[in-house]
Amino acid sequence: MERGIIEFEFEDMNESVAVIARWFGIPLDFFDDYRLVRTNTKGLHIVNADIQVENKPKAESIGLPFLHTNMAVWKLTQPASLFLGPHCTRNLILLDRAQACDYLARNPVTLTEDNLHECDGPGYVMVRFGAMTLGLAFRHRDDPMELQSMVPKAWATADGVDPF
Amino acid sequence: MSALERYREIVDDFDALMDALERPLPTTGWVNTLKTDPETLFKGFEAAGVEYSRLNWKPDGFRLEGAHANNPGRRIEFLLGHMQIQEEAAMLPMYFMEPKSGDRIVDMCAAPGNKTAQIAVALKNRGTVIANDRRVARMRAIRNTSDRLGLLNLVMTNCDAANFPTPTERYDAVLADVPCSCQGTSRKNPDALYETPADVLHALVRSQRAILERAFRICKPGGRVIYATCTYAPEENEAVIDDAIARLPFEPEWISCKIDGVVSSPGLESWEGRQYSSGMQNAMRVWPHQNDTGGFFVAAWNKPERW
Repeated sequence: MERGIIEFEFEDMNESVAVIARWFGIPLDFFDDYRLVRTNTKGLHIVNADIQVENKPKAESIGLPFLHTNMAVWKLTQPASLFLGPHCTRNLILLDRAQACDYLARNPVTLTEDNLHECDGPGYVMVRFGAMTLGLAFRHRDDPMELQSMVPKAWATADGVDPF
Repeated sequence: MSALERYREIVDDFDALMDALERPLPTTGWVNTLKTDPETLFKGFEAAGVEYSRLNWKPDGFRLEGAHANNPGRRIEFLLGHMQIQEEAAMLPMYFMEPKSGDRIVDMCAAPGNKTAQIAVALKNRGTVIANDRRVARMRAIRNTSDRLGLLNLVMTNCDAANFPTPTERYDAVLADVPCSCQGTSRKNPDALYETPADVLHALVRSQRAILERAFRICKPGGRVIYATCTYAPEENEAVIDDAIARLPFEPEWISCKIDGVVSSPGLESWEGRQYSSGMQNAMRVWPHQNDTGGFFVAAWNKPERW
């Protein structure tokens, strides 16, 4: 391979992020400074628009894992959720301390009506405790008052641990 | 401790050094300004009863004290990537990097990725940071750190730093934080003070010299090269630098490595009968007793404009 700077075939941002931006109330122009790159069949990574990648040495990984695409419904990764969380204005759930501890330990969280002011309906929600984004969760259509934590096992706290 | 006896004459206070090595290493870290700011993080510490003090030379740096110093990885600020834990002395090389927005910077021996992360955050998630490491197994640590801190401008590569390919456009800055005998880490790993066998040391030195020389070659004219180790051994510091620079077709311009608020010693101009470049006085030796840290060595240069 000749040496040179790789010209990536960036993914179509509108197609990939429009649904996310609309659902979470993020202005679409927020993504103008970023690009999505497919580095494997499992998902997309997000990079800054001015990143430059040489073809030697070969890039093993680029940017931040953004979206799992090898599933029926695409899912934001935990790093992407923490990246986007502060910019979300819709489908947000604010947890209290006990709920937040359960969420981080990947336990189901029972919601109250007070938790749901910024939610449009079942589906993915961004979870916060105070000003901190904790990550992504899911509300199922058949039990929308129970929150399923999407914290990856590797990021989870042990049961009963209060990291606050 | 006999491995340290040979340094008695070059340490400003040998007894203080030995005392410092008996104490546990303080837990230190820095604020990830991509996700929060120092005032917010420190207010959070205070609200949660986390004892801390701020580093006097680094506005976003802190030292944890009391019970929370023992397991900072369990704090929410760590889990969410609002802070990174890093030994204070290991934060020093970044001080001399002076990155500018959009820069392309290489960390040639990046794992576990703390200095890489410092660079990526200093670039405010712009430009490009190449995090290279020869060992695939150690790259997972870089990945974990990058994901937690939310680094977008990182490219991970896996090659031998001594043979790092020449890029199309040479890099704005290169960090050669080379593999070493790690004597300066003995406060967390006492085995580091066992004497390095001569053949292992010889191989290390050869590799260090090759990596530093390569760092100069892939750096753009006028760019910045930084050499760092966590060892006291002049064979791995001053001697490597002297030999690497002698093989270059140009004379790099030394950067004075001094920081207000950090006690340090200059690099050595001679050791066991060998003379080194007078520029070595610009290098920085940090002994553990001077700032209650690990041991570290840093040297920095600008590459001449016409090369």
